[in-house]
Amino acid sequence: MSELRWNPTLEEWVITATHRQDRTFFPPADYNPLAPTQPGGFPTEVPAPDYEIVVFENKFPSLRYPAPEPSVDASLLEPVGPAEGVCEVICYTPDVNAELANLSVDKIEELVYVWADRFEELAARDYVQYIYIFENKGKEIGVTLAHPHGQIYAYPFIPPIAKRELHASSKYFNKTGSNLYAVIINNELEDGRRIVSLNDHFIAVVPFYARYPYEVHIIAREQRTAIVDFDTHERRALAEILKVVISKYNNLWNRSMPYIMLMHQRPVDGPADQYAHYRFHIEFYPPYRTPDKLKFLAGSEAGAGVFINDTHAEVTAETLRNTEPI
Amino acid sequence: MVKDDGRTLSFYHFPGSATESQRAAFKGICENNSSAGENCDEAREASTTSEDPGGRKQ
Repeated sequence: MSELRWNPTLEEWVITATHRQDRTFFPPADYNPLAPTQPGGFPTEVPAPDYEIVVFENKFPSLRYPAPEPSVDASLLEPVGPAEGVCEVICYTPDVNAELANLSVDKIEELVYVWADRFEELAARDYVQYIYIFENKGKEIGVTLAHPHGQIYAYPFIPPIAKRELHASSKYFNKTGSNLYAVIINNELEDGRRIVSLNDHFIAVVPFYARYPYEVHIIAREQRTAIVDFDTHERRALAEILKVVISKYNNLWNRSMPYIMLMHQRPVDGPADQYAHYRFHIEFYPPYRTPDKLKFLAGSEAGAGVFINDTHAEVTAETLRNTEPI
Repeated sequence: MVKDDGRTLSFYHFPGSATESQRAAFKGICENNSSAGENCDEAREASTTSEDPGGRKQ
């Protein structure tokens, strides 16, 4: 069962999804549900002997349409709603041993086109307000399927962090007449110490306010608020800088770096131009603070919402900047 | 296409970079899928420009 339960103390939705307790959990090495289905072999999620990029609805979704009726009664204080939405899985490649970092720029560019196509298709659904594209990579992040893949959640509401960012950029724009992200980019370009990589259309930085030691944000240099806004040159440039950043991560400690990669884009709950104060960006959260020490989200982070970063952005950015892409 | 359990599934095909095996698989998907649409016969480009990788979807 799955439903939305409103938390009036934080003013945010919680999704219950009890059926996910039974989802596939570290399947045996000879059973990869995201591999192509080989003739005579066991049927996987992908009913074809080969593929390039494939997208399908998650077998154990937190959100679906139509959604089941909530299993509990709502109250005025604690509203309940159907968990309407979409949860999709994107397999980047049929090769279980690949990862985004070792795909060619051409292949990553194709993935950018697929992301844009999914955004456009999901945005057209009237029950969707926000499209969240992300990748969890590595056991440290909780990934249970090794096959290289990402996910898309199409939420029926604007999630809290996106809402806070939108509120902040709107407030800044109303106060100054400037785009908050344009100002941040200008500051980073002027300062230079936190830049990890740069091309004509994107900048990759460890932000001044980084919460994780090796957190990197890739921000569009032009005023774009969603992946569908990018022209062909920008899509290519996005693929190029993604390749550089992820390759640097892997080269940092000579091993495949786990991370959460996520896209922050405009909501799709109305006209795009209402979010002109915002800016498309991608965020990476690697969980390690040293080669063998994890950054745990403990008391301050989980309970107070206050991150304690054991490093300075200027130092980790310099380290990443000086790390060659593989 | 729609899977047996009702979930949707989309294959993306990029003719310029696909291997022979991938081309054959995409062709097979089109031939075996009764609901296959126009994307099997003509490219539905993922953007309106002519410089994109020429993706098709089924």
